[in-house]
Amino acid sequence: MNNQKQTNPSPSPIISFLQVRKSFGNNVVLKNVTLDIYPGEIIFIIGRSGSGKSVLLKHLVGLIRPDSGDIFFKAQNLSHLKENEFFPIRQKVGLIFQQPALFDSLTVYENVAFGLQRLQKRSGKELEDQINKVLATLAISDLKNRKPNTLSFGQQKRVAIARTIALNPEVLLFDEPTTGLDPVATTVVNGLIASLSRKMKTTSVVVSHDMHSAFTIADRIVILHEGEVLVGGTPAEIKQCSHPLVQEFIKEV
Amino acid sequence: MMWQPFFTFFSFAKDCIADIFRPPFRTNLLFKEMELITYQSLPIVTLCLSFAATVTILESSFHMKMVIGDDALVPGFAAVLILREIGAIVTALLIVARAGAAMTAEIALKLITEQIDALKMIGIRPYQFLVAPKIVASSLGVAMLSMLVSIVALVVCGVASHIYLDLSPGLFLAAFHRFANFNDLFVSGFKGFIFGFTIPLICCFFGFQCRGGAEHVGKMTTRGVVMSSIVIIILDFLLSALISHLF
Amino acid sequence: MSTRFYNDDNPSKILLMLANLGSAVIFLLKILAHLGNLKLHQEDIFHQIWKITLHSLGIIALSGFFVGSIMAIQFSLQLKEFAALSLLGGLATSGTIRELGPLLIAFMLSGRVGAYTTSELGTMKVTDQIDAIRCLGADPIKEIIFPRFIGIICASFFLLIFGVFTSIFGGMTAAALLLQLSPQEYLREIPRFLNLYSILLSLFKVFVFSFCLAWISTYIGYHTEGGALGVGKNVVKTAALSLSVIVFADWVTSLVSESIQLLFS
Repeated sequence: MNNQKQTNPSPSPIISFLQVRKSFGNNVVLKNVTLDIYPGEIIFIIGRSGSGKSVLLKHLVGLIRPDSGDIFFKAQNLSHLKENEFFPIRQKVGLIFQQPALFDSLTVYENVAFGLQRLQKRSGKELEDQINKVLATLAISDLKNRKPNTLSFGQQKRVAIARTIALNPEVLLFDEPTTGLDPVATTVVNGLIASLSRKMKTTSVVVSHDMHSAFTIADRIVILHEGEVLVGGTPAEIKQCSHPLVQEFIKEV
Repeated sequence: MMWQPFFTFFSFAKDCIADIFRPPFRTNLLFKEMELITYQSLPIVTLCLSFAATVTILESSFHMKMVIGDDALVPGFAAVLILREIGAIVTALLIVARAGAAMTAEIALKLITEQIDALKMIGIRPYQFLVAPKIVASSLGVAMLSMLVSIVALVVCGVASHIYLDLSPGLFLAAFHRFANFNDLFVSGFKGFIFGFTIPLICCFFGFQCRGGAEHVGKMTTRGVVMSSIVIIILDFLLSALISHLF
Repeated sequence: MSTRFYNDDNPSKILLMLANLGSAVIFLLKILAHLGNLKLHQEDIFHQIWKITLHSLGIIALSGFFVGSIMAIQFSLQLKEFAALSLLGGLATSGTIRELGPLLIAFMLSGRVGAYTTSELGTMKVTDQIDAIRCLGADPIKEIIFPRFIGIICASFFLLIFGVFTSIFGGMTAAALLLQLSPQEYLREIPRFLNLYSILLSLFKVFVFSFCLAWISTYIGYHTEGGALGVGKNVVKTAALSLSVIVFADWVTSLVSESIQLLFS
């Protein structure tokens, strides 16, 4: 079930899913997910729509709790934590939503400041410097005082990323970052994910059904099918996999 | 420039009303809307009006005692108030909240999911298909509902008078007859008809104004409810003034 | 939260309703838990009160004016029977303060504020903003819900006073134009009809109505699901439910006040 191969002797996993099961009513979304994620890698979780990819991601920040199974973040078991116990985790694990989810009533500057003020209790010059730095990294400094509804979708996505990386998390979770973007913007976002990962030395978990992007920037690809991990490995290994379903997924690339 | 929205609305209203008289007459849609507006709302409206009726009795008795120290005439006054005012207005406002808001939401959602465009492609006039049946159903429905529920409210008044004012049903009927008559019931129905006529016009208008996204659907639905409510109150004032002057 | 109820196949309607009620009570308790540190939220709450009051002034003014006129017309017909037209001002004002004022404010607010709040919160929920708040280290109930809840209740009191005054103005105007009753005559008897008890009843009713409205609109808005369709559905739900609940609460408070009055007389 779990065909992970380590291409180099990596350290112990930073995130582990152990036989995680989650259902909503009669709909079993995750059947038995076991997956290790290693620090510093860019891993793509690919699957059809409705295969539970986003649900898996949300478990890592405590927006969803598993029905059974364990989830470990740096040896801490997340499955039974309470809401307020998740706050320190959310400082280290940042989720970037599929819809930008920016706060409509706040400016771009205030949006980016939100997490910094509440999770990290920063203020004054320190706060301002951090925000300006992050805005510059994503080349959106000129949008500082604009409101989200005046921005294009691509610009909103960048502000959403800025808001999350401002907290200097160790892990970045991307929920379908390139869905709905034109090919040019897709390339830009992929480049962003890759460079952020290298620059900030974060682990990036990207959920997507864009195989092309996966083959472009992923260190590892994992295919989720019917609530279970089908295969996992480097892009080269996936390409050579003989499983019919896998072949169907990579047909478009 | 300021009058622009009014012009848009009146041209919309004119188109919808014209479409009522244009064949094909979609009677099955009409009956569907009627069922929604009258049959499904009947329990709630009856219940609410019963509550309102009881409160009217209590308040009237309080004030009567203040003015003339005697509450024997309370049923009469209360009945008149219910028939001429409360019946129509409370029914109308409840229908706005239940059916009116639903109309706005329905049309707003159909607009942003391009179903309206799809209708036009098939050659169906959207106003005639969506709005006209609602207007006819609502006018007739609210009128009937008003009258029916007012009668029920009067019965409740009788019961309430018996419990709180120790008035036997016979005394109640006597007091009732002194002040009210069938004309007042028709007033209730007439007001209901006018209110029922305007509710779909206003609510659907705002539905068609929706320009996309969850936020806008919510905003337009809210606006539909608020505008309908205020227009009903203003219309009620005009009608009351008119009726009291004519009779 | 709602996923728990799907484990039963076809739970009965009554069970679902009770479950929702229970969930709503838990929600309310979570909100009220923040009452302890009101000072912290001062700025947010004042901002909400200001925003809601301003937002609703127009509609309250208009509806108050016209309902006042309607009451004047209706009561005048009955007072004419007793040739006691001079009492019109007092009677109409007393009726407004005790009954129609709170009811009217609540009705209008259920649209202007209730539906609006559900729309706002619902949109935030379906665009993941609520989840984003949690991910960035804040409690949505503390940040978003609590200020709005308190704001609605406080703003209602200001709007009640405003509504009563516009109502009196409306009645006065109608009396002057249609009934040849001068403003002075209209206003003269008002003190005679007012007592402390009526005013207390009025304030109590406004509190109960706005409490129910705040509770319903925030609960339904916060638990919206399903995109634009869900938001639309829930706005309709709030509009319909809040009106019915207000009418019911009106009845209950009237009964309660009646019993209390009987006790004291």
